[in-house]
Amino acid sequence: MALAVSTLFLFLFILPGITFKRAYLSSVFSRKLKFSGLLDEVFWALFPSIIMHFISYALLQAGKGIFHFNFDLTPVLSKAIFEGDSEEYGNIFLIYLYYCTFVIAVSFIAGHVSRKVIRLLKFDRRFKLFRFSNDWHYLLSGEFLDFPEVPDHPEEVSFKLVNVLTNVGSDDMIYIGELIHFTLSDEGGLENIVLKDAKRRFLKDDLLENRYYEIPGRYITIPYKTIININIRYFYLEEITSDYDEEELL
Amino acid sequence: MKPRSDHRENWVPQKEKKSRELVYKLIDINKEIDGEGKTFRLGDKVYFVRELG
Repeated sequence: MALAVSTLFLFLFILPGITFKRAYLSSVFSRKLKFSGLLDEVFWALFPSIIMHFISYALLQAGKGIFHFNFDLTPVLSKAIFEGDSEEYGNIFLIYLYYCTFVIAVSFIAGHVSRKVIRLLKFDRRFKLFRFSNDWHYLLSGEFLDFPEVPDHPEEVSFKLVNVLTNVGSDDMIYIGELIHFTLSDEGGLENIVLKDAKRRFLKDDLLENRYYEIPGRYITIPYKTIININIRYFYLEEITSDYDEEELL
Repeated sequence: MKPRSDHRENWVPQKEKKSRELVYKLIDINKEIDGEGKTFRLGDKVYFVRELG
């Protein structure tokens, strides 16, 4: 009985860490949770849990003075871990449950706030440790240019040219156009991309002179399931009509 | 904790509206554009374009 109760107490103790991790990784560009090994999973459940318990305990201590209520975790934990019979467990369990509910709520909020802070401070672009798992977001948004290993900055990007090789029936088709929109899937991948003013050609026409032909309409949606590969190029574009040299023109 | 649909939708920021002719011109010359940059004319306007990354 004591072992079962202690296990339940332990599970409730690490639950805030799991909640924090789920909340932190809940946005669509980080949604895919991979199993990274038992030791790693236990560490990333336990480590945030301990921090969340510290923060929540400090909040409760601060709240005691403001809202005038009594709360002391020490006797609850000492009875749960070291001593106590069934009746005592019953008495302290409700208090412990209230406390854990509070910690889980704090963890949920802290997870979402942490993600927003990391995104706001651009830590996920600067440090690999904070990077989210969906690479498509970084690649298609241009935030990829903020990675330390890549020169230039995403703020300079004024035009994204995309070459998409797709498979349509038995033919391979290449679309080229300006990337203006993309949708990420719930599984942590890509769902579709939208190109503006695109042209297309068959892959087999690679050596022809005027191989691209225009597509009527300005926007074309390409589902990811038809895409074989994508080539993305980022351009800085500026109108310099007032100060140009005629000899340098293309 | 299912994300709102607007988290999934990502509009690529457009610094300025580009005409269809400008996009087609960039498509046509894209192989000649590199990190050094190129200048080209379109109608009565002249543009400078450089590849990033």
